Amino acid sequence: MTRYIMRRLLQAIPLLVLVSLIVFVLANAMGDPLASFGGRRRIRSSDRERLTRQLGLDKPITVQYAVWLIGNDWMDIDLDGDGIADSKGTRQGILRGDWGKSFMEKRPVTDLIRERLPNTLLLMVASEIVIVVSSLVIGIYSALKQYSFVDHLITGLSFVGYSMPIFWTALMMMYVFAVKLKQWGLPYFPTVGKYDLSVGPTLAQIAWHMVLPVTSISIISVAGYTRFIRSSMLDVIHDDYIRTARAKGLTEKMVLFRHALKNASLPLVTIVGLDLPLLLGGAVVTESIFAWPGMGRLYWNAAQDTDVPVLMGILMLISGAVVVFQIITDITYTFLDPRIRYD
Amino acid sequence: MKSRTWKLVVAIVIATLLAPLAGCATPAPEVVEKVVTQVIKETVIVEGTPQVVEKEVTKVIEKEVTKVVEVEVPVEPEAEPKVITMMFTQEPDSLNAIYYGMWYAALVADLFNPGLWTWNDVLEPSLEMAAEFPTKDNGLISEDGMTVTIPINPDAKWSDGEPVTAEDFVFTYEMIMDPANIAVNSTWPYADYVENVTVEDNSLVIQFSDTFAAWATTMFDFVLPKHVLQPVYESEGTIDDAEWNRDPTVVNGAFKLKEWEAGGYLTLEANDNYWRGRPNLDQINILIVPDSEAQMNGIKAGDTDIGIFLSYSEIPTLQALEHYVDMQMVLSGYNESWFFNLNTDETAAKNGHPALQDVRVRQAVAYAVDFDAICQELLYGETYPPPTKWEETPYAYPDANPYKYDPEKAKALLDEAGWVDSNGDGTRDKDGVELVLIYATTQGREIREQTQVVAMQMLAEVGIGIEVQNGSYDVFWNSYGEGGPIATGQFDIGEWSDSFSFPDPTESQWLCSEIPSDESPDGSNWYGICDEELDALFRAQEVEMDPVKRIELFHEVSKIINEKAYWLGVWHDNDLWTTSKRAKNVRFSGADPFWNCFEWDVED
Amino acid sequence: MSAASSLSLQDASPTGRPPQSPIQLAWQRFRHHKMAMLGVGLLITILIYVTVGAWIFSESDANYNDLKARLQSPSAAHPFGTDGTGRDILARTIYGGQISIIIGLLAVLVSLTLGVLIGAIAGFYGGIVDSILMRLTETMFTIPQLFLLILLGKMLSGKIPTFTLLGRSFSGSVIVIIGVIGATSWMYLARIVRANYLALKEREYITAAHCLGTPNGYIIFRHILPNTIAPIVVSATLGVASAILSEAYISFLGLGVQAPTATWGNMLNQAYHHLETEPWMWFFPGTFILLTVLAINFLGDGLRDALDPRTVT
Repeated sequence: MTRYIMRRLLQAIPLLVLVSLIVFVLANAMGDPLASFGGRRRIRSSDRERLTRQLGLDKPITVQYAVWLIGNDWMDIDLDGDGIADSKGTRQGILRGDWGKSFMEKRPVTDLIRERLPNTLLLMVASEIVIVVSSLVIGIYSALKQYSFVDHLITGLSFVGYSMPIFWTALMMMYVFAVKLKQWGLPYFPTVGKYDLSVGPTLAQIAWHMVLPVTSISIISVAGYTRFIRSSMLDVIHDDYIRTARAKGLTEKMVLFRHALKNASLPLVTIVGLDLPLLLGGAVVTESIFAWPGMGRLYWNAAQDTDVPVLMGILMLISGAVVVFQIITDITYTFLDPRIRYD
Repeated sequence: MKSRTWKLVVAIVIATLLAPLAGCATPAPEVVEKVVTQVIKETVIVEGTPQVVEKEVTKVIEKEVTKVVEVEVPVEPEAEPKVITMMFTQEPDSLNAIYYGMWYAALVADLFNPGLWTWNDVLEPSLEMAAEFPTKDNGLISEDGMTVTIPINPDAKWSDGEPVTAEDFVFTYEMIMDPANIAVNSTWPYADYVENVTVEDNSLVIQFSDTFAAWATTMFDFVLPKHVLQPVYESEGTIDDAEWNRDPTVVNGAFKLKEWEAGGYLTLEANDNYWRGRPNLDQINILIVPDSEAQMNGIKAGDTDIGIFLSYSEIPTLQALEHYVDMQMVLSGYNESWFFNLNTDETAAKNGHPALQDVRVRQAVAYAVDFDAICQELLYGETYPPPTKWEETPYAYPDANPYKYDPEKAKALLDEAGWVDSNGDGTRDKDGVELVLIYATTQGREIREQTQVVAMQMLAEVGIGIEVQNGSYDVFWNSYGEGGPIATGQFDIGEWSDSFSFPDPTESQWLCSEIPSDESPDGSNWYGICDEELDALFRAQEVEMDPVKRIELFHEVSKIINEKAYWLGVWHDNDLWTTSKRAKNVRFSGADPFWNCFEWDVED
Repeated sequence: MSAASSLSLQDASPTGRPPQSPIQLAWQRFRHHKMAMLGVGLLITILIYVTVGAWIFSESDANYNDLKARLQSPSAAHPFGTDGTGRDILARTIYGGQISIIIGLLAVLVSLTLGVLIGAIAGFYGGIVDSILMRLTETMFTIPQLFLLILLGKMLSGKIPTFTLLGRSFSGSVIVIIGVIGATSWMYLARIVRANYLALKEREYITAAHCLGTPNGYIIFRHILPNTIAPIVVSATLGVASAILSEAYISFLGLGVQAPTATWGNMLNQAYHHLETEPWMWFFPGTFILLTVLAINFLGDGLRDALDPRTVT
């Protein structure tokens, strides 16, 4: 098992290098990082030239990538524009743990990510729990009561939920449950933010502010997962060994949870395993609409401002997580299905 | 209950009963005639720059005076803290003015870090760290205009009690110019115009290397605390990474930073050591809400007291909320503008459509589009098309031609210029070239996109074809070196909101020397305009220290630009701000929006 | 599987009825899937709407700005109301629908081509070719689609000029969007196709074909591909729905098809500041998106059930 893990990790390295290369080239081609620098006024030409030099953007793209990877403190760079490279570089490169500094905020990328990541995790893990639990319950119920009216209703609703654009769902939720409820004098949800400034970050406040964003995110995924679990359960329920278990006289509950669920959940593990690392990217639109201070917005702002170090940082984080989670998923398989073995 | 508690209850009951009696004891009012001398401030343009002059005015007023009886008023229970909340759609990138690039950062800085003076809502200087505004009259500007002396306000203090001195300003200048501070955003205008900055008896003395008319609006609008940052500089060799940049512990403004949760919010609290005394408000909360719809929801729900930089399309919604929201349109020098690409050098890729070289074609475009209707319908009549860039300032040429909608005249001009539809395809042509113009602007602003489709239709009616090529903000403004569409002339009509160096009228984008090329890729004259007369006038105004003569020069400038239709005004783009009814005394300035934050108050 | 169907063929003959081909069996299963039929009906209605509607309203009707008539609620003159510059929303949903559906179909065509090609070649040839192609697929998988959408959208928008086709002019950004969505959604299909090819290429009839000297290309496309059609069809169908949603999403972020061409997605985007005050601006295009995507999902679900013999009906 350990050898298997090591092998997978080693295989992941070229993948990560490839991803970083492609993303770096694309991110730099995306736009001009200095365009957003002047605020409302466009940046002056003398300053543009100086900043280009200081941020290292005047070097060819291969050199820039190398600097991002291994830093430039081992070579001399020309900081003051006199054409003579006489100052030492200050960057160490990501391989030595230096993720670089954001162009816009001029702060280490690791600081930015560290500030936002917990907020995103809070939102997305809560959403994922809601999604998995709800879809399991609804999906199993739907499978057991196949072709009943409830089943059709659930199927219909899940299709509808599945077909709605996320931004519409989020805006509608905010509009109905925050603005309109308040206008009608009913108890209402807050519009934006993680908590009310006057009250402070208490658990109750944060939980209250999380309701609307979590619901918006969950609706669409619950719809999709429910369909999936339903068909997965249907596959399993009609298998022979389930019939045997029932014939043996086991209670329905035992049949469901001991036998059916374990096998039906294999595909679910795949999906959850694939989805979890993407959670780190946050839900860009939902976070924007609900002003949740998470990774999604950091990501979107960095994309809009062409803040290359931040983009690289976030994407490498996500890619790394994808690799790790795929390995974890594969290992979880072995617990769920003893027939699966790796060497 | 214990006996002590009982006594307290009785005391409170008695006090509550007594309070109304204080009102009953009001005696009958007397009518008194008073002669009052008021001192009012007026803006007068006297040699130098706009200057504040005090005048005495005598008035006779009748006033009802009520004799107040001294009554023992019971101590009021501690009042609710006075808080104003606002929402920013972008988070400041730094709180140190030499580093920040974002407009929102400058906004927050208005609250805690004013410089020599701020520019108020009628564009007069409101003195902060300076004791007097320098003019030639009071001798603080030298005869040749090359030396300016600014006495520092003796009451000005930092929030830790240390006085603000001219040394702090010299330190600020040094930090801006020091190459060890790599991340400094801009060294302009210091590097270009300043010879030296020194201290003389707690006055700041600036020695210019070149006469610089715009000095009062572009220099020292903030100041760094030397006693806090000098040690950092000495130990680290730079202040790029100083903690003060994110957490300014020592400030000189009305408020100081209490907390900043990245991505979430900033809170500022009143600064007791502010030189005007503690401000009325106790706290200001700034929430970071990136989505403009969510911000509107916040305004509707009453979660925000100040709406910042709102889109004009929200005006009907705001008008419906007029019982608890007030709108303010604030002059900021911005105008939504159309620029024509007049490049004609050998590098063909840069060249605009040949038709645009003819002034009649440009004028035809101006007459063909009904900008008034656009302002009336799309902008709810809240603004109008400005005939010059310096609209609402004394620098605008007063007799400029507004190019009122006249499609027949447009067609006549085009016919006269030789552009007719010879092949019947709907667009005019000449010598085999179709009159199809590339119309470029940035994506993402609803009004801009609406203007685009409406203008397209109107131009099609006079036979001018339009091809839309929009890009997202940073792609649009890519530099010449990176092949940015505007910088490399890949447009015929470019639309964006443009301003001069408000409140100073200067700008450099019209100069021949600013045309970008491979040798000088950073020029800002993307339209390729090289008009000798215009060039001479702009160079003259840069060094003209006499404000009256300067105004005359700009009249000439705006006249030429108007007659030759180099630039068209689409709408006068004042900033749209809102305040909730509970926020009092909030007056926005186009230059330093939060300049009077020390006067802000709330009334619940 | 093949054993089971051959049994049923033999079972069928004693009753005298002719044996049914797998396609006919699939069709029967499909017809009995109520939701799928509902989906088909809905889709046909929508398609009629966007095609017949185009005969009633001309494209200039859809793009005609009438500032005096802007932001009007539904009335006799404008049954779906008007938008921010006075354009008729009914006409715009017709033409916008055409573009949205075309984008959906063509984007799927792009991703289908890419996915099948890459999956087939990787699965068939195996070895180094497989490794490289699979690494490429994984890389594209790892990079979040949103990032690629934003990136490519920004890079390419505004670069391709308007072009005319069949007498109508289309904004160049339509091509960009098709390319962007297509280039970011082929990976899932490539995986499935590859897996099928890996399995199928070991079959005896393939070995026989090799022995006969059949060229590889012929084997890939004429022998194996028809047997792996089922997941491709299902994936393509659902891909159209996904592409239409992606178009709406990109338009919402401001990177979609440019003015004055209408799509359901950019109509939603234009309604963003009018959600409360002019709800007809988002209601109609939003509902059309919802119904179309819903119908396609039903259809895809039915196809999946019909074409996959293992599913219980």
